[in-house]
Amino acid sequence: MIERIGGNNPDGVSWSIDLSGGIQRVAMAHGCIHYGNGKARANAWNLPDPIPVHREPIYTPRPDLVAKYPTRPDAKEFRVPNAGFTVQKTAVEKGIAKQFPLILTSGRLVEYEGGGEETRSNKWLAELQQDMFIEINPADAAERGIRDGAWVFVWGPEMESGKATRMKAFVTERVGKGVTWCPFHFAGWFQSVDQRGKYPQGADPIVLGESVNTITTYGFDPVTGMQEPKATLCQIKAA
Amino acid sequence: MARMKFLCDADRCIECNACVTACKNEHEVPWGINRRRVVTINDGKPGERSVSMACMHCTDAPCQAVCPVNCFYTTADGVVLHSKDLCIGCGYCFYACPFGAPQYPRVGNFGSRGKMDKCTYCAGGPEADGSLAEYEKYGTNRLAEGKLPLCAEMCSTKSLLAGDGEIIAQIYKERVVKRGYGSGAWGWKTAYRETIAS
Repeated sequence: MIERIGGNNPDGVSWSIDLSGGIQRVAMAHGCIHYGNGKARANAWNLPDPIPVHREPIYTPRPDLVAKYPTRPDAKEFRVPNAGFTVQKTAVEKGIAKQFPLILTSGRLVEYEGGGEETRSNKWLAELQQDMFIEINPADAAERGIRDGAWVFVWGPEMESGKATRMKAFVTERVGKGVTWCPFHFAGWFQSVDQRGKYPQGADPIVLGESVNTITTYGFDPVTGMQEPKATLCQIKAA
Repeated sequence: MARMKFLCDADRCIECNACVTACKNEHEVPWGINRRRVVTINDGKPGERSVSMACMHCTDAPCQAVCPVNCFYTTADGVVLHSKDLCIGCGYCFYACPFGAPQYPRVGNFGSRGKMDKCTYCAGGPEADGSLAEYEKYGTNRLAEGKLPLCAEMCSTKSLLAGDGEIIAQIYKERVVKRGYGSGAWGWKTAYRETIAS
């Protein structure tokens, strides 16, 4: 197939010039580019914000910007209420950003997938990442007396007062000052307590750890209902 | 005869650890023993570099020179292998190795070492090729099946190259010319007393 299209230049063949499907030929006959409609949709008329606008996170490190860039008003989306605006306003009034000075975001590790329940049950992968951790900038770590690899307590604005998650500190310049990062593949500990005994026999993954979702906070996308796992605040202290 | 070598292109390694995982799965390497590992320097800083390291199957291998029971041998393909029947777990090869390749299972108390385990270039050991005895001690023998080491075969960016030294050096040289930079074949000077001009 590649030779039929590309002849003597097989490296010039890509999916974008593959005309083997009928739909591509029809699209081209109507003046459309066959791998899209040829238009970037800058104005998405059927979304709540037809053109993207900046909105501060619900738990923002810059409460001074909330008046100018608030989140969307409270609304009922399908059958569920979304009270993001009220939560954001309350957070600003309570001075949450002062009590929780670090930005917390989350992401994935190459070793694990999704919630990690399957991949943490694989001994080859589990050996490569044996502990839940939080990346913290050397400056923030120094202020808190945290050494690389040491255990730390991390807690967020929506956790019960006095409770904290327990994980290892990864002191690195990979995150800027004032920013922290956690992988989202861990579960099995809850607020510093190992829950291994609660797994059905033989179903517990090799590696357990605190779930970052214990710390992350309120917030839902107005269209998809997707939760807010990427922009929140936290505080850390040495364990 | 081919002279088998490893070459890790540090400009391409993305520290995905696929080589490590492929190796452990292929040879059933137990938890705590790492025949191959990815070393990252300047982690999280500009100029971060990763390189995948295992036994480099050196020319005039230092491990071979220091072994008191002569358990090492070099195959016709230039692969440095050892016999676990002869190995006494003395640990000399660990101190001699410039790459930290030899690994030892802990047997019993007081940190006593078991028989040394290291990368076999997927070429097994002295037992008959493909035999169960060979698999149990050294893992699979892919080389005898005409296959290259699985770590390099699995490498997602083709950073890790395995094969005849001349051929992989040629591939690396072409790469360096095409992209216009190269940090050299890490470890080659130590292992093979040669460098690839870049």
